[in-house]
Amino acid sequence: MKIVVCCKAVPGVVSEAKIAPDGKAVLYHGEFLAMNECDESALEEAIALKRAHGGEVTVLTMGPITTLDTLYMALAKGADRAIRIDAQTHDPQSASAVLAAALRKLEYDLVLTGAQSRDTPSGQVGITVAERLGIPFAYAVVEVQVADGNAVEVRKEMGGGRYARVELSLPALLCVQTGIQPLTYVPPARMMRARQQPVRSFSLPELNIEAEQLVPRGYRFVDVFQPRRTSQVEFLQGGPQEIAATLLSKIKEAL
Amino acid sequence: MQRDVLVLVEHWGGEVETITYQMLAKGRELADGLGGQLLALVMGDELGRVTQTLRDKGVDKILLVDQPALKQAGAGLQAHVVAQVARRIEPGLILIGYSLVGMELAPAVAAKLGSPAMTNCVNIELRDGSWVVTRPVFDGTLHAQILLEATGPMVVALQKGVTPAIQASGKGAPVEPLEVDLQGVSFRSRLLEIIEEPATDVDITKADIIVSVGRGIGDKEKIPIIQELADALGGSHGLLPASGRCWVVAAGPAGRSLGKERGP
Repeated sequence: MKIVVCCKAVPGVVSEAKIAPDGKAVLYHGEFLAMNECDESALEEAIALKRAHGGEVTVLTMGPITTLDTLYMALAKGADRAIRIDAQTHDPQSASAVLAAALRKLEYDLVLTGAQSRDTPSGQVGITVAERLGIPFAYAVVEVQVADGNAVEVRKEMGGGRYARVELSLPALLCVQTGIQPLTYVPPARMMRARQQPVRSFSLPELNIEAEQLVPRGYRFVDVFQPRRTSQVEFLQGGPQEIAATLLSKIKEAL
Repeated sequence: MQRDVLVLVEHWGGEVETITYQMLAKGRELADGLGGQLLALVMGDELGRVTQTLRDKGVDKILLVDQPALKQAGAGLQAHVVAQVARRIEPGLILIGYSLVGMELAPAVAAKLGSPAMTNCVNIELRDGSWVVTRPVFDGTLHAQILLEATGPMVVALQKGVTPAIQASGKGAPVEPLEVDLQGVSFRSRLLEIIEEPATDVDITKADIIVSVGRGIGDKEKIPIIQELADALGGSHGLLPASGRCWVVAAGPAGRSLGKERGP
């Protein structure tokens, strides 16, 4: 079984976030890039499926050269090959267009992604990629069973303590929930060996995508701010009589 | 700008989910703001009870797609139905609850319509004739406000609990059955079964008090200590009718991963 895992490198700490002059992006300074947690779960699941059923795992990411470490970690964990698309966008529509274009150049039976990324938590890219490729998809997958060479059966969360069993014909795309597989530790020696492995690179022209296609359409950012706290605490001062009177007036005010 | 707001109704076993009533409340506010209509789309199989429940919920019209083929529909097919209905009635906004069902549907509907989707939103409001959504970014450390400028129907998925549920209006909304053409749509994903699997015999959403165990407990073997704590306090694993309170030891993961959320 040929599996492609889409992994995203996400910043652990973000500072100086502000809106770009054209309103089309949030600019920020990000530090401590690491593989997005549920993408890592997706990778672990892909490696587990490969061990059980044979095949190969390709890990695919999009981002600048700083995202290479994420790919090396994937190789160290057991991925067979790694590809980086040299492009950057935080818009789900354009990100899915780029990933779908790259996937069209690859062979796959199964595409695995995490359910949601930590930085732009929209949970859209996986499903939109599947729609662009015209393949079936399932979201918040917690278990994958390979029925035969032509289909997989998955168990997915439906909320409210419910799960669904869904059968998907291959090729298919699964958005994987965290915890589907335990995350494995990568010893430094294996990470060093992984750094010797080649990483294939796709440029946007190779994927027949113009740079302006990455500019989000249909919306623009107008503000970015720290969430306002909705719960406010006020300590009432004074003697018991005074506090009681203030409290009563506040309750009347609220009613 | 099209002014009508279409709300996607989420239902289970004939019951409408709470999140839908919240979407209807928001939808009502947004539709009134622009003088548009609030439409509710119900799809599935054998929907009599769901439709009946919704009739007095302040909706201007209920659109009903009741077809046996939808019984086993995967998300792709459901999105196909929503997109077909949206093309026919041309709403300005499609409002979807950001539940696990909505998380799967919203991007697919948007992709089929070629519209952008705004998911995981904590608010949507009307500002100078345009819709502005607020949504978390960077792990929720920041919120971004985004102005929607698309001309086609916008897909917006709102988190649960960001608005109170809609109140009964006392007026009966008309029901308009719609036929959706499913010919030529391939059924490449098929719903086999829904499994109702509560982690314990206690519904945490209904318990008064919850004893919750975090990772600090170390390992599963230490769970009985907490069980003992609950017992010592006069409770047991389950409901304690004598005190009217409930001590719960949730041995499995609770909260979002199970789809059940509880405030303090």
